[in-house]
Amino acid sequence: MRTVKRIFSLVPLLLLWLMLCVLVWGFVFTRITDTAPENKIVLWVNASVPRATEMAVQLEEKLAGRIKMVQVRPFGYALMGADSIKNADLYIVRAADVDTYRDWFAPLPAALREECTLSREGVALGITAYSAADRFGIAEEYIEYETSEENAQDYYLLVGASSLHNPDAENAVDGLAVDAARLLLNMP
Amino acid sequence: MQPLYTPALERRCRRAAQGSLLLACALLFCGWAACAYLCTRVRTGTAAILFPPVLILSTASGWAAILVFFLAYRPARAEYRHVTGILQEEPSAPREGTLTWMGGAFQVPGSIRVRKARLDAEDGPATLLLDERFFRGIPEGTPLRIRTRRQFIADYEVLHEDG
Repeated sequence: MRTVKRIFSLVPLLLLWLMLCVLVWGFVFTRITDTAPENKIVLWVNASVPRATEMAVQLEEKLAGRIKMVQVRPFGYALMGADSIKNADLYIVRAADVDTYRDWFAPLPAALREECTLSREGVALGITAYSAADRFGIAEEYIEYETSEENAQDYYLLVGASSLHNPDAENAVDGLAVDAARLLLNMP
Repeated sequence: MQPLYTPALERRCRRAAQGSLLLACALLFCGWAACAYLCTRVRTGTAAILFPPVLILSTASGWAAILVFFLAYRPARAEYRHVTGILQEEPSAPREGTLTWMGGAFQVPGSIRVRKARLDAEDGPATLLLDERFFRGIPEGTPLRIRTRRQFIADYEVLHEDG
């Protein structure tokens, strides 16, 4: 009985310890599951991506040896205040939102211009990622495109204006954004 | 007379305190070392899988260390300090009388659990203290010869009726 009372008296300390562990390991995991922009490819998707981790692992395996990490994030992730959405390497965006986020996108690299299906003011901007007319899209196994009759629209794959992996960018470290884009375009 | 406080007891108390402190530290260290190892296994595909076990392991090892520290080490350290302090005192002259316990054991803040007893001796009653760990060995109401150190019963001898 006395021991039980003593244990109960330690409950605040035990709860404090639990909070400390959550904070410490949450911070540690945030740090070790991220890396510098030049070592990762980041794809933000303007749709639900329930298996984002699996999709990232798939892309990572195919780019193995050339990039440390691939991150796939749904736009909803940015509601937690992630400025990183503006610095992504690739985007998959709904047609209706392309003009809203226009500043985030760079012109398509020369290596991808032949496949361009979206232009703005004469600038090649994007490649169709999902066609509402054909009801067919890339990486449909992972991305839940809006397909309902009222809301169906095209989605486009675009390259980030801040990407360090865009071969046409001045500060490019490599051209892996093109490779990653091609992998996505061929992803069932 | 049977001594209650001996150098052997002091050594046992010191070992108990050191051992429990070592155990608490080992629990904490091993738990967090295991977590650090799991962190080296984190990859894009395994981060979400590894976070819960890391959190559970670190929390559990900390809780175990806290419980050992507060429930084993601190009482053992208090006991060791008490025994060391008592052994440094000179024993009193022997007194004879019968003991009556005055209520149950109580915790001295920052120290050990003690019982109060009244010694009814020929030269008058006296209030004595007894380390709770020795309680069961000392009979109540029986004629005893007692020596004290700092008011604590330190040595006792049961007196036979003819002695």
